Order: sequence, then C-alpha cells, then structure tokens
Amino acid sequence: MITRRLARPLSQSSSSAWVCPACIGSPFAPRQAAASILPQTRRQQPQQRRSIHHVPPLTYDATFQQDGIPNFISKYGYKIAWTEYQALMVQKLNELTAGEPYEHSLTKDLAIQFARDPMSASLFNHASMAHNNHYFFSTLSTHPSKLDNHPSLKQSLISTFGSIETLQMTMLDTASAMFGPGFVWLIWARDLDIVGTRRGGWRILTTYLAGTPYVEAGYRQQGIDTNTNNASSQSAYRGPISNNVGYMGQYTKANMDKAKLPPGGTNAQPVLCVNTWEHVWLRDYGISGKRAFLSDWWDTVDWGAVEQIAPKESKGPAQFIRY
Amino acid sequence: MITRRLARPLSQSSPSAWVCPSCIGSPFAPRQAAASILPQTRRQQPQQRRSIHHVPPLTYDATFQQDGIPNFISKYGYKIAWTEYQALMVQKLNELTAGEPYEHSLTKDLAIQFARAPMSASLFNHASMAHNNHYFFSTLSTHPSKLDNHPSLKQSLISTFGSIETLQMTMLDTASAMFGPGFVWLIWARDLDIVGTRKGGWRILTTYLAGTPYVEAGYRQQGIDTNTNNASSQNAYRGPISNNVGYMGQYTKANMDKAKLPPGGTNAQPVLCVNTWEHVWLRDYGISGKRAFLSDWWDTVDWGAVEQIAPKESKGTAQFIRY
Repeated sequence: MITRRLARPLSQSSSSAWVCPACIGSPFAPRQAAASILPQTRRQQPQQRRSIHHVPPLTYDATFQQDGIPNFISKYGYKIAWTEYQALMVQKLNELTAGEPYEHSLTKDLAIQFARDPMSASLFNHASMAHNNHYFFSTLSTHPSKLDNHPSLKQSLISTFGSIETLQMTMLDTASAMFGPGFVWLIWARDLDIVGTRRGGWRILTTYLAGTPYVEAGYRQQGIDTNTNNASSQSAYRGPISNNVGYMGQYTKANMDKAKLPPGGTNAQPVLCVNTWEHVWLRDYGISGKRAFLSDWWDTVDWGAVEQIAPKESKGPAQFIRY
Repeated sequence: MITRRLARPLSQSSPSAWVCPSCIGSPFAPRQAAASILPQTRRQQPQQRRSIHHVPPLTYDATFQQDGIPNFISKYGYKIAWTEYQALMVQKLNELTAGEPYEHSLTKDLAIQFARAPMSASLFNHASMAHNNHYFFSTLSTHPSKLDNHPSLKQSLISTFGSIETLQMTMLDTASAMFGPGFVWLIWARDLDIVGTRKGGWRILTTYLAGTPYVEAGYRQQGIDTNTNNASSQNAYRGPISNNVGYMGQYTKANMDKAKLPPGGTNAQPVLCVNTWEHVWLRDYGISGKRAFLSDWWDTVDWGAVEQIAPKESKGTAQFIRY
C-alpha cells in the first residue's frame, strides 16, 4: 500500500487554507487566517479556529437540501451524495494539501498535476473525485431546460451521434455496463491533427473510480477497467501511432500541443457527466435500481447548463467531423 | 466497451439450470428441468417455469433477515448487501451461463476459468463478486467465537504478524485506504519453492472491485489500483524473478505446480475477507462511516468459522516462514 505521509503532524501546521477558489469572496469563504508556524497559544479559543473544509456552492443547493432534485434524488440522497460526500472529499484534500505550495490549487489542476505520481495517489483521487462530483451536480437544476430549447447544441449532437436517442442509449448502456463505480462523460474533443481550425467532435468517455477526463492527465483517465483486459486489448485502447503526414515539423503549434499530451491525446472539454457511484443512487433507487437511476438522470439534465459549458465551436454551423 | 453477446436469444434457450452446487439437494434447489431445445408449447404455464436464480443458503440467514447481524449490520443493510445484491449477481450469472457447458460450474471455477478472457469480463465479474460476497458473509454469525478460543490459530497468526493488533490494524488500515470498493483478504500462502513441505505463511491481500484472491487467476487479482501506479511501481508489484537454485528440473512437482500459475504465484487459501463495497455499509454507517464499519466488522468475525476454513498446516506447531 502506498500512502502519502504528511511532512509534519497536522497539529503543527496551520489550519488548512484550502478553499475552492469559487468560494473565495463568497459568504462561504473563511476569513483569511495567517499561515503561522508559531505554536498555538492558550488564548486561541477552539471556536476561533477556522472551519477547514468548504463544499463549493451549488446554485440550487438550498432548494436541493429542502426538496431534493425533482424526479431524481430525494433530499436524503442529496445529503449523502453531495453535502456529506463532497465535505469528505474536501476535508481529505485539506489534510493532504495543508501547508503545501499547491494548497490553493483548483481541483482540476491538482488532478492534472498529480496524475502521473503514484506517491500522491490519494491526493489525485480526492481532487479528481471532488471535481467530478461537482461537475455532476452542476448540470442539475430545479427547472431543467430541455434539449429542444437549444437547437444548435442539439443539431451538433445529432451530427455526431445520428440521433439524440442514440446518444442517450449509448451513455446509459455504457454506464449500466460498468461493473465498478465511476463516471460517464460527454466531451467535445478538438482535433489537433487539423492545423488552423477548431474542428472537433463529440465523444463519450468513461472514467472508473476517480479517473479524470482531461487529456493532460491522460495516464489517469481510467477509461477501461484495466483488470478486465489483457495486454493486447489494452494496447488497442491506447490506439495506434498517429499519422504524421502534413506536419511541418516538431515546432508547429499542433505538434507542440501534442507534445504536452500523452500519445494520441487531444484537447477535450467535458460538458456533461453522470456519477455512477453507489452512494448516489442506493438510497433512492435500491441496489437493483441503477438502470432506473440512469434513465431518470437523463430526463433531469439541465441542457441550459450544458450549453453554457460547451465550447462555441461545438454549437456553431461549422462542419463537424464524425467519429 | 467490451460486452459479451449471448450466442442465442435468451428466450430460445431453456431456463437456466445454474444453481450454486451447495444448494443442490437442499430445499432451495429447483426440480431438475429437462434442458430442452424444443420450442415451448402453450401448455407450459408460466407458473411452471422454474425460478432461475438462487442465492446460496447461509447458516444464519433466517436470523439475519429478522434481526440483522448483531452489533454490525441491521436487517435492512443485510437485505441490501446479501439478499438483494447476491440475487442480482446470481441472476446475471444465470443470464450469462444459460445453455453453456459451464452453466453448472462453481463461482470459484468460473472466476478462474474466465480470468484471462476480456470478452467474458462480465461473467468473470459477476462470478467472482458472488463468490467473494458469499465468503464475506460466511464468516459472520449470531454468536461469533472469539480468537482466544482458537489458540493454535491465534499463535499461528502471531508468528507471522507479531501480534493480533498488528494484523487487525494492517487489515483495517489497508481497507480504509482503498479508494474504490473491493475486498481485503487474509490468506494462507503455501510456499512452493520449498519442495516436500507444506510450509507457508499468512498474507494480507487486497482485491479491487471483483478481483479474485486465487492465484490460478492471478491476472485478475486486482491487488492494486492499477491507475494509481506507473510502469515501474507496477513492475515492482509483480515481483522479481524467483530464484531457481535447488530445483531438479522442470518436471519436479514444485515446478509443475508453478508452471500452472502466473509468474511468482503460490498456492493460496483465503480464510477471511472484508467487503468494502459502499452498499454494504452505507445504510448503517453513513457515507463517512467506513472506518467504524471496519472496526465493527473485526469485532464480529466468527473465528470458529475461520478456523474451519484454515488449512491444517496453518494451525499446527510446524515452523512458519515469516514473510
């Protein structure tokens, strides 16, 4: 077992300063406490200690806490899957980043930074999980907007998938087939092979456990259950060597971009995901209710929120590359 | 996604004959239905169809269903983690094995047989999970016997681990540190390098998701989260090349045994495991209660059941090899 040891005991470092940057300046943010290495004096009362974990604020958090997410998750399930679970992730993040230079980093940046570092596996897992969980809940709302209200996005999806039913069935079947917990993502992937355009296409991505969809952390995508594959199927997953015809050399922008990425990497913007961890659906759907949970999720997605996150070129009339 | 396609539609094959072999002859076992490829006639009433899934009988099942497992899991948690979940596993197994030559195989044999077949990943997962879950519940009882009542077993464990507290802390810390769901096992590993003896030692093993502890299926042990490791740490996990001094050649019994196993394999008998999947503890302990669940589990283990499973040489006075 590889566990990360703290450089110094928790009691000797200042209360962690880690706050999700979305919270800084908001009512949820703590007062700035001095990062002090002096021993705590008796005059510092326990109640003056800053609370050390902060769950990022969701737009509809107050309503969800009272009424749950309509036609989807009850307020009890919401409490488990967001209020308590996210607090757990943030608390662990605080412990792992206390006093370190990256203690103020965004969860996404932490995930990317520590993706290739087995000694920081716990930090990666908690940062990535916090990020993914936040992503999942940020596309849910009290009055979700239907996809029909966003014709350019809808048309773009149809260009790639053929129909919205195909997209739906593919995402839900994929999520249903995953034996272990994880996420299924809809991402816009920009094709770096074609220099000078912003062409791309939609893709569906799976990430097991706390895997991340960002390709800069491609080694930790965790897109397949690596234990259900042998050497050849894993090679197939990683893909063949890309064709280099048309490149002008290793200093072109496209190549420089590619050099930063794992082999076969591309630029990906996730827009939507579903969280298939058991604690999200066990309370409201029961142990055999995963499929029902997924169906209800599809009907509850707020496509307005998705459209805001989606990059501009994914919604325009430009020609799309069909994958 | 790699999913296994059935060779023919379910409706055309006879209702599955798969029954856990420990059920055959018990009141739970179905009447032997003829495996028939003839189309079903109208006279075959729906209520004459045999029920197709059977959860293996636990000794204390009736009590657990009424009162739960004392000081551990409530009857509601038990219903989720055993009654419903095991039924789900068995049902899926039935679907995947219907009409196949291995439809009567034990779950352990199915797990070993399909450990290296990515196309049968779902079958492996469900068979192995059913097996592991059954193992977990079979060491729990209404009046667990304490370890002090089994001095030879206790002494044997102390020989390997130094103290029972060390064993306890190691197992529980390991289980607590695993980010994803899985099992932690206590196994007796017989050392095949020493020809002619039955020497061995105790080991603690982790298996993520539905990984199996049996070394004949070593490729599917899933002992580490392969996504939190890079190439070198994974090689370290697989271990160095074993020393061949003293061998008489490839036809010695030891070498023949080893030839059947993955590199570095040994003979392993699991005796105890803890199931850390969320659905087992979420109901009774809450999302932040994993550690409390593990502590309570340790106090609830029936060491009498463990002693029955443990091989004779693990409890004797023979000299033990300390790993």
